[in-house]
Amino acid sequence: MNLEQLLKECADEQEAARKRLFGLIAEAMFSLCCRYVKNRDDAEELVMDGFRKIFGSLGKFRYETDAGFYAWARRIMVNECLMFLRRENAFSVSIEQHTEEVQISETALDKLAAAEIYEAILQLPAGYRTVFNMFELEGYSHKEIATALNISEGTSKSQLNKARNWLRTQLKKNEIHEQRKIQ
Amino acid sequence: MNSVKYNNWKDAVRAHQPGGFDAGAAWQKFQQHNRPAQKKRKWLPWLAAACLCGILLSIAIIKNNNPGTAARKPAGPVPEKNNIAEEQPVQTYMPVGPVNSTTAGEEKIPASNDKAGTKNVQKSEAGKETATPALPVPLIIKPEEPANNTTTVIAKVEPVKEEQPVKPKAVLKVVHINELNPRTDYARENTPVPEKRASPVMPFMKASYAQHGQEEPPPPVQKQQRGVLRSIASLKEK
Repeated sequence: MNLEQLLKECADEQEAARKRLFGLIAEAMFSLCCRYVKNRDDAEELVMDGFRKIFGSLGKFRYETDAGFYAWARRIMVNECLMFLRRENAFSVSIEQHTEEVQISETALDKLAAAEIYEAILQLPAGYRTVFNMFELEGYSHKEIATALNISEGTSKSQLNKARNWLRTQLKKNEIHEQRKIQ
Repeated sequence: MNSVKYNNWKDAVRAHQPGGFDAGAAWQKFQQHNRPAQKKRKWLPWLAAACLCGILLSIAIIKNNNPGTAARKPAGPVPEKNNIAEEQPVQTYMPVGPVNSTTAGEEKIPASNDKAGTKNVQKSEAGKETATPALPVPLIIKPEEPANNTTTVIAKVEPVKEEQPVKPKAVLKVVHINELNPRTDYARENTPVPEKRASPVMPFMKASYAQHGQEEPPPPVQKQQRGVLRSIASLKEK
């Protein structure tokens, strides 16, 4: 059964189809929510809320490609995470004037394991982590981030720079630590 | 360990699963939270329809039980004249047999007893003699009695009292003599005021009219003065 047929059955409120779709993408959604909220229990609750909205909105969703559906589902989950963070006042975004772009070496990151980068992202402060996740991993533009978080584009860019600096520092520390272990 | 290789670190991080997530248990938890709501949603339209039917039915019952108005039609067959005079049989056409005008309401002789073709001349109530041609005996139809032999009560129709329009009370307005305005004075409400009042011709204008050969405009129309202003005007004239 392809994804389009599965989505149609889910829109018809077929229990078996919904269970299958849940099993298909729930873990990936859980991983996404963990990157935003860190706490696993909160992430699990957000996954439930997100799936409730996904199943409720499937009737309105127009399927085009599989990637389109996954992107749509991820957006719903991200919105749930952002609403949770706003409710909890978990992130404070400091307004900065300095907006020089800091680049992280893509090759350096490619060498690292996904788990290391994942753990490093979780160590970021909430504000940096949110902007970093939305820009680097979800593909939001600074304008979209500014609208979603109710901040300016300049603030979004500065938060991203700070996040990258922080990550670079952390990864260098880990690299040095690894080299010392080898030696 | 993940054997799948990703093109870049972003795909790898997106696909990375931290572990500790049981999809089966999560689904059961999800169902527990959502099932009552789904069931309620399925029942809700039926419940709404039943409530609506109940409301409409109760309205209909209440209307039937209440004593009706003139506009409302009676529910069952109601005889036209009841309780006022004895029931008279309905005749399909003019009677040819002897008509007993003084015994109105009594049961008429059944059609089978009358002889067909008998000529009878009898004085009617008006005193006229009615000729009775030889025609078959009319069929007398007795009005049907109600099956239950219960007396039916005709609802008394009370004449609808016409609501008389409420006349506005006259409001006396105490106004100082100096504040009286010929347009808004209470005594002058019905006095027609000319829309355009020609201003009095000033002396210098008279000369200009004469020079240009134009006629002087007519003097302004004097309003009818009543009451206090009339006395003031008369004093001024003096």
